[in-house]
Amino acid sequence: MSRPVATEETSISGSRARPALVAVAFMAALFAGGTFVAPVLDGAGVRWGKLLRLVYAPACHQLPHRSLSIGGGPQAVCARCAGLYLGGAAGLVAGALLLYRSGRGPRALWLGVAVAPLIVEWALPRLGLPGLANVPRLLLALPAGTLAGLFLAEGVTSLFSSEPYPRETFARGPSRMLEDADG
Amino acid sequence: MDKPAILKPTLIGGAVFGLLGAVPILNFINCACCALIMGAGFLASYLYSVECGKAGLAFRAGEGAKLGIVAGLFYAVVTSILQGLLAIAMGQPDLSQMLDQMESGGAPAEWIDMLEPVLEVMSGPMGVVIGFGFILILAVLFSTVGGLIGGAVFKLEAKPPSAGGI
Repeated sequence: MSRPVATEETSISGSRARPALVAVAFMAALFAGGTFVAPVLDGAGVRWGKLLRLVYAPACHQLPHRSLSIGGGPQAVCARCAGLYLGGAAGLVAGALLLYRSGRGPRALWLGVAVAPLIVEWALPRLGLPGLANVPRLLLALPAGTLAGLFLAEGVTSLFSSEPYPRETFARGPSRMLEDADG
Repeated sequence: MDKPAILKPTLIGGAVFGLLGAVPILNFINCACCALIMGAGFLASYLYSVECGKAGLAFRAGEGAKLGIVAGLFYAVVTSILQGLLAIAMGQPDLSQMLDQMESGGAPAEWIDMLEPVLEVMSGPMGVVIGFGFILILAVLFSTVGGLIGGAVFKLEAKPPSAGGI
């Protein structure tokens, strides 16, 4: 059975990918920023704060003691989710601003390496060991979120590009391995 | 050569994670950015990438979106059916019990007054429809994200035609 190998590089000029990526990055930044806005609105006595918290409720337990305190109230998501959202938004913004220029994408392995500490942190209290405080939990989640954002940036770029291989230099993961395997 | 069918990888991705999403306690994993739902799209992308690899075909990162959407649909259907069956088997608290739980949990009286009509609707047949619609929207959204991430991680490029062979 023949195996796929990397093809020659192609240009990304003229594609709709970058505006789409910028739009997605902007929405992700808004979504991440909203987690900080909710407690501020609560503190100011604005009812919209509670409604804004509802937006984040399906994807987070929102336990106050597992969330960072912003302006005297808990952030709208827990510290881990905050790290994932902030990292994801940062990864998408980096994808929109930097990856187009540098042409360097993350390796698939990095995502696994970044997610592993999250699993360990999740397992610690369940094994009877003391869990981490909120700030370390946020910091642990940042790399995983950032890498997921970078990969998502590549996916969005590919989705909105009319060219066959819009991000040729992203091809550093399994494709390269297959090529190497072919010798 | 035709692309492999997306039915099998998306069905497996959606069903596996839909099953996990319906299991009590395990479904708390969804509290981390809907990780189980994203897993459905991610797994579908991986399985499709394997299929494409076997056929020597390209798999673009952007194709993960389509896989994620379909896997999200399967996730919503599987997890809703299983949750419904679990609810029938284990029994659901009735409206007054839910309100009592909220009151004992320290929810403000104005919230309870506000939520009572909502819970009344949600505990009836209309609630099943609304609940499924809600899961469907969430599943399609987050599974698409998972599919795109999986597409970028597991992408493959087609083997160029060999110079001397048929």
